[in-house]
Amino acid sequence: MTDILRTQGLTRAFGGLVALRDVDLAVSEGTIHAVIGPNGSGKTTLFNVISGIYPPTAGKVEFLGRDAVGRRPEALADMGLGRTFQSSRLFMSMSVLETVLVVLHRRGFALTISAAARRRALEILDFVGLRDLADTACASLPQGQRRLLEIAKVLALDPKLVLLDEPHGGLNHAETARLIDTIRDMRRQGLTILLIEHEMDVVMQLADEITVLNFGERLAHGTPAEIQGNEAVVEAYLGSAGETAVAPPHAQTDTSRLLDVRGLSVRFGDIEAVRGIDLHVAPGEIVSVLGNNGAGKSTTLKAISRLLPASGEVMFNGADLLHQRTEKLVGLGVALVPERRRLFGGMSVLDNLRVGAYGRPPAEVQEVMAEVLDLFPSLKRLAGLLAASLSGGEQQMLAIGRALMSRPRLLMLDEPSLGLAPMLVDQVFAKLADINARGTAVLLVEQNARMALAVSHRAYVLASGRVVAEGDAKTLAADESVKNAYLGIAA
Amino acid sequence: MDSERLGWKLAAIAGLAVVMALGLPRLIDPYYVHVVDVTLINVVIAIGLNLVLGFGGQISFAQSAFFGIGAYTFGALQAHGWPAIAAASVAVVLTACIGALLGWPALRLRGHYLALATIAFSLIMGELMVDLDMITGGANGMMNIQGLGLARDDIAMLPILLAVAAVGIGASVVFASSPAGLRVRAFRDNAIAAQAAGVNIRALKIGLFVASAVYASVAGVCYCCLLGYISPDVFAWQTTFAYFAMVVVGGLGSNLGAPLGAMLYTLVPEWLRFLQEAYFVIFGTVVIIVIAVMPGGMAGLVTGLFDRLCRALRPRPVAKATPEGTP
Amino acid sequence: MSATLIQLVLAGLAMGAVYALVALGYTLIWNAVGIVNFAQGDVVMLGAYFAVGWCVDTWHLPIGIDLLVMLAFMAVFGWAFATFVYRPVRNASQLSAIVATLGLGMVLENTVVLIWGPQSLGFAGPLGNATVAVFGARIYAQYPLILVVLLLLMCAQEGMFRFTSIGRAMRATAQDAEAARLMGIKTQNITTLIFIYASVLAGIAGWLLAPVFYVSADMGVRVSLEAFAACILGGFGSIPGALIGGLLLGVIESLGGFYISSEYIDVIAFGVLFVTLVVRPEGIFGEPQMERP
Repeated sequence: MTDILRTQGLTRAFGGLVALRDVDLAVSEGTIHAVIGPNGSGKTTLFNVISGIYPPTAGKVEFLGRDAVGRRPEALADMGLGRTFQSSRLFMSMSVLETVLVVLHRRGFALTISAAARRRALEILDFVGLRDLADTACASLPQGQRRLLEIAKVLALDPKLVLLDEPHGGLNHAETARLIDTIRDMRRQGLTILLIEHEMDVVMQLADEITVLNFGERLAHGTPAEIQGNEAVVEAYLGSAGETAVAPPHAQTDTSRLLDVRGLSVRFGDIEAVRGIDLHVAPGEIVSVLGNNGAGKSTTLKAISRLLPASGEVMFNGADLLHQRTEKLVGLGVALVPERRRLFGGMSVLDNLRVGAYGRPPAEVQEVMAEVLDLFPSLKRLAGLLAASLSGGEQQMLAIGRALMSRPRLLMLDEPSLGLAPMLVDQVFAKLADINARGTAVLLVEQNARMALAVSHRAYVLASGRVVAEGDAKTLAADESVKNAYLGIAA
Repeated sequence: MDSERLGWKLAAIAGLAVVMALGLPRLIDPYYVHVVDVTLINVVIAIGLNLVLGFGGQISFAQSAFFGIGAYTFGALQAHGWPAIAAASVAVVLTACIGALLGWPALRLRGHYLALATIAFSLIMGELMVDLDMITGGANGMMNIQGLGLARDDIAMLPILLAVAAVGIGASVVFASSPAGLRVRAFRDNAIAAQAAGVNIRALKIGLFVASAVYASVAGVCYCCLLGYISPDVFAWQTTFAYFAMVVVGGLGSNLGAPLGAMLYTLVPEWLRFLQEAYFVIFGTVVIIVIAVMPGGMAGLVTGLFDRLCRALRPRPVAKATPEGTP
Repeated sequence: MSATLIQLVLAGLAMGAVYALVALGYTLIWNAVGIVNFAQGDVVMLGAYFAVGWCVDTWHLPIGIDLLVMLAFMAVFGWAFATFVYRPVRNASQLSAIVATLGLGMVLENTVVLIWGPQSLGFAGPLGNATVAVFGARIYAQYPLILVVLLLLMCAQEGMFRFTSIGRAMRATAQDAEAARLMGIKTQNITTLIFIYASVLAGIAGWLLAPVFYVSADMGVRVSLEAFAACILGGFGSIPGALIGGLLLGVIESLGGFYISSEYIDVIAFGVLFVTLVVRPEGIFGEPQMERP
């Protein structure tokens, strides 16, 4: 079988950040090939480079035996390379039919839309199951139909290779099943499909071959069965507990609930990202929220921090947080260390810390600052530097320190290990154990499950927006169901 | 939109033009005929701006420059004895070329950077119109432009201007319902998705600039023919904001909106002379209100009312959604 | 150094200082909320008209008091601007923000003509026609006054940004509004404060400018263009860029107008601006980024 698409030594760097490193990929004609990997592994960058959105820093891409590097996306589309986008990129002012017609009429100076084009458009809509909605405005389509329309758009190109970027994003069970069928139909028609997908059970069902990326490099390659059994892959997803043993958490006996979340739900349009989550944190506890990418972990934290609208109940110390605005949280005793830190890069380390204590009297600010610098001695040395010039590990420490400036009773962290080398991850988690030992409760969202479980009292495992496992951290660490939740192995 | 509806729309435009050509001179004062003439010229400019701004979503402040280049080229060629048709053709083609040249660096710019670049362009052109006084007559402008020999004859120019405006609107209407119009809307809605769908967005962006240049330069030629003289202050870069206001208040992306906006900006204040500045204070406020809460503009209001009326007269199941952006 | 050269440079610096003040207004608003306030020049005009037209001409307030009253008015105006023009379009596209500020500009220009008529107003300013000798050249005393005011203002501003809690809050909001909220900062109020501050700056610019040029409805438009150029030269979003860009532009215009030609100077200046935009939109100090999300 010929290779429709081949990459060799593909590398893409953004300034100092290497998103893709030396990736070799071969997609055989008529197969469904899946690219998987944890958050930040470079999957979307791979797609962007292949489809011509930006060129690679090094390496080759061959499509249909011809060099694809340097060609514009329109040109590649003409050659037969179609792609969909992770978040539906639809033409909001148009109807479903018009959207497909644009692709069919992408060139030429015809005065009116031809009857032949109209017929073909309806055919395509029929194939994906959108025929009845031909005249509906795209803006009023629910998520399930939007994903189908993305596929219809790409089919209208009459492509040879289709790049599907998380086609199942936000779909419910029935919709997912339908989409799986549609993708299989596409393969039956002779199309080759390259697929990025997070829903592991979907990947395992559909894929003929799987390539696993981790930190921008190719980690493994093979059939679904081979991948599920591959220890390196398991470790990539679940993380490792590191070589230096992090101290196990001190005994915790308080059973009252400092944070009590009941029935938390978050919707984006009509996607339910988080469905009816219950969790709680006792004073002085460390609780982890684990799960694969797209499981809803960060969304949960953002909902609690009021960065996203949500429904349900979030009781903290007697107050319902869902009735508060984000600005009120630190006053109540809740501090969040956001995903990717979100430091004020143009301000100095000390200024960042001072902002963390915004609104407090100057004397208190001085006092707390001394405490925080005590806890993070490395920050003393960096005091006057701009936050943007710090290394990843130093930034994470600063972000935590900044959050501690408000003397919170509950410290929440959103993926603190993201982008950090393993040794730094050790240091960060050691600090968290330290902070917790001084009495602050910690709610931790983390992708590195093993590390998180090593420092936590209890944990919850999320999948598809729901809690699928919960309990004592030590017990969960030994539990196979956690691994299965991450790798999409049906229970 | 199907060909039948399109046909009706074009017929309606043509019909309206004929009715106005025959009826207006009899019904209104010659001074107001002049105002209508000027309004028609603004309509043409506004339609051109609507193509690049409303359909294409590109923030271009270059209209006043294109208007001026068309007018001055025509006038200058006529001053050298060129006949009207030839001079007009060259004026339009030259402006179109300049439009293409502007479109090319504009490919890299978006949003407020494009806005600033096009303002700079308009300013430079405006200054050149005064500075290159060998060609342009400097601050005094150009006098005695032959045109069609109908200078100052507002009533005779009326049917001609109506014809030009009708053709301009008609072309825009045809464009809107053509595949090319669909591509432009796709480009405006989501340029990256359009690109992934195989649309050549660079050619499209340049094409929009060229189209708006063509419209504005045609308007420039008409202006010369109407007045018989031109002076640089009409093309000063500040006037470019007026066309913006017209298109926004009329309704961005609407072929009905651009003429409506032109009328509201040019014609109505003449009737309401006594309100003078207060009128434009209100106009400015309406601009803010429209862009904040009424993106369909006046045209949106009108079509909304029209739709409601139709539905009241002939109740029909409300199953179809009318996409925005089509007239 | 010839007296003419000194005169030109100082006059250029003075004009440049005014441009810098207006450019600063653009920069602050851009940094805070990601929109270009096309009406900033007209806000300058508003300040000038209020101070001259009402405070001095109508109410006959002494010089100095008229400035303070006008600044109080500009603060209120800034609040109204933030609440009624900015807030409705804050989540909309760049185009909406540009159009909204253009609409505001139209309202302001026509309002001043409505109230004070089409004639321009004269204003002697605190120093009248007094001249002063600097390095052997005679220049209007108003010029050094403008420079001194700018210097004092910038020191005060730096002090505020660096050493006060509010200043830190403003910087934090400008860099990352969501993260600022997580710190307990009420970003909505801070944003309004930034608009108020930018309007007050515009008012000061108008008051400084009024004695040099007549107070007229189109003064804002002219100043705004130079201020844009200053921002682009210095890099959109950079405060030192706005200052240096403004001063530099003022001097270039002054020297260029005299030594090259006053006719083509505008063409040259804006030609340079156009080329800068195309080739290096981030200017001298800015970071290469084309657009705010």
